[in-house]
Amino acid sequence: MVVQGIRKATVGQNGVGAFILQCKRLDFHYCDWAGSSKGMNSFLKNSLTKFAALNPQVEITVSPRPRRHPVIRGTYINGREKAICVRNLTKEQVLQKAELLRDANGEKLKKVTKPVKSINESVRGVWSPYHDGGIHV
Amino acid sequence: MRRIPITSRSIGLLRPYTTPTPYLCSICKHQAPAFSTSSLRPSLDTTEKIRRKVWGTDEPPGLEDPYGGLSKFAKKPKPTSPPRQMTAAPQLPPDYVPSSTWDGLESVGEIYEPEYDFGGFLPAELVTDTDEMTAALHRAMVEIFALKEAGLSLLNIPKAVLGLDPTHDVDIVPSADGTQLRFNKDSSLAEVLQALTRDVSLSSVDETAEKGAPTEAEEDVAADRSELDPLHPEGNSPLTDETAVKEQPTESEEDVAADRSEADPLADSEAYMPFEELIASWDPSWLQVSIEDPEIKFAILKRTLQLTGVRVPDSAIRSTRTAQSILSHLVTPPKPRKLIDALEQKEELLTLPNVSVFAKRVTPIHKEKSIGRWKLIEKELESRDLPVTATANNEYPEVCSTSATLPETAGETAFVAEDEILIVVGVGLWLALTAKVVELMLEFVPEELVGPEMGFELEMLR
Repeated sequence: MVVQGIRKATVGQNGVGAFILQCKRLDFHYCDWAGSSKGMNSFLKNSLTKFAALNPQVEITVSPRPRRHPVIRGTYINGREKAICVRNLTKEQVLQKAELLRDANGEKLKKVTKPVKSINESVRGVWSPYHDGGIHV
Repeated sequence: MRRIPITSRSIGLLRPYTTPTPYLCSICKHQAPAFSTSSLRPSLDTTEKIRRKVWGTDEPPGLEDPYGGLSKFAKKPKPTSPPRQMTAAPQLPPDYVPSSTWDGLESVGEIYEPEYDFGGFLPAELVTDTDEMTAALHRAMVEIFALKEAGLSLLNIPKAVLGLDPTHDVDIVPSADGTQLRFNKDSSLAEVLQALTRDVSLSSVDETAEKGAPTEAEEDVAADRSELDPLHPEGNSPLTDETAVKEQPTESEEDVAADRSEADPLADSEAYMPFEELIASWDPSWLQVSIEDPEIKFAILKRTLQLTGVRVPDSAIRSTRTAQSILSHLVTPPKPRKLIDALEQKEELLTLPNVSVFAKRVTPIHKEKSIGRWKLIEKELESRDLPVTATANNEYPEVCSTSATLPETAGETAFVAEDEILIVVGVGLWLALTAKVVELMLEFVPEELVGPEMGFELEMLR
């Protein structure tokens, strides 16, 4: 008899349904006068178009912030904000920071020690002494 | 300080170990250099040493060189040049008189003569205005295409640029079989060509010389002046003197005079038309006219250079294919002073749906307005008599700012109606203010607001 595999009825995605980017908005603040905004201004002039086109799900605003260091501020769907000061950084470094904020989940930084994190309770359920036949004394 | 022993000095390493050192006391050892700094005696070569040993004297007999003659490597004596012969001064003619001025003397070298003065190819002043530049390019294109249409050589573009521009009313239209010029009511091909050829005639040809190719008006003159009947050519009579002054010039003679004179009769009327209107009056398709032909492209660039003085870089010439691309190299947009100016030029960025660019700082009020909450906030602030914006605080009198500098024990602060004055209530507070301020305040504060305690304090002050 030939061994036959069981046919799949559904496609397993290892628990992943849909991915929603946690970053919903990025604010770019720059200064026209200060030298610390040089890299930021260059980024806005040259690289922002491509970055914004690649991330259509992120709302991007650009506004001046005179006499202050340049800042990228990310707003996340958990209601938190993250801001990174990009003073004196080059265009490429500013892009790295923008990508970091885009990929962040908006939560506070935590030390991850376990490989798996889940908000679901155990599939086996909580052990109970009164179930599974009980204990006969 | 501890002395470094002489043997460990690095300079001492240079001392040859074979030379026997004479006895020196310790002080002299330290002070004297480790080796002799004076020049050595000239060393003898081995042959000479052996010769001296063989003969036992310092002056051995025999030749210095046993083979005789000079060595190949010996220095040859330099050939001595014969001594210079002194030449006698030429005999001056008896009637020689030294001149006191330079008139009449033979001159050598460059002489400044106005006729050889090099003027350069470019105009003295560069055109910087965008509209003027555009008009100049249009003029150049019309002239070049007119020359091509007339079948004339494009190499003979006049250098001189005169004021009258007959190309204002000409449109350049791209068509299937090349580019065409469309002459409107105030222009004609002959007029454009005449302006071009007139520039040449003015610069090079003498007025009295015979014309090789007379203009239309000049031919008219010749016909007018000749007594020759064109219908009866057999009755020829000698031509009248060309140079004689005519009492009553004919109509066509006036044309010639007007043609040849440098004064522009239309210059005054044309000069008032601004370039903006001029450019707007042209068919905009002229910017899309193809100039792929290298001959035309070169001629247009050359003429534009003459008119404006602005040079298109060689590297850019190859890639230019239309009038628009030439213009983009001629007219450089001003460098944006602010980043917002640079961003506003970026169509790609501004058209993205997820990008919004603000020219001014985005304040919290703007954020509240964007989500429609600001009206509510404003209303609530007003209902509580609170300042809506930070600048609203300035409407309060100056004394208001004094409360900020009061000591902490000042007590509570109360705001009164907006047309009245801020009163700070509390024991000891009035003492903290200067008497002048108190006097000032007493003029404005209504009496019913002044409590019994305060009245007491005020009395104390007085």
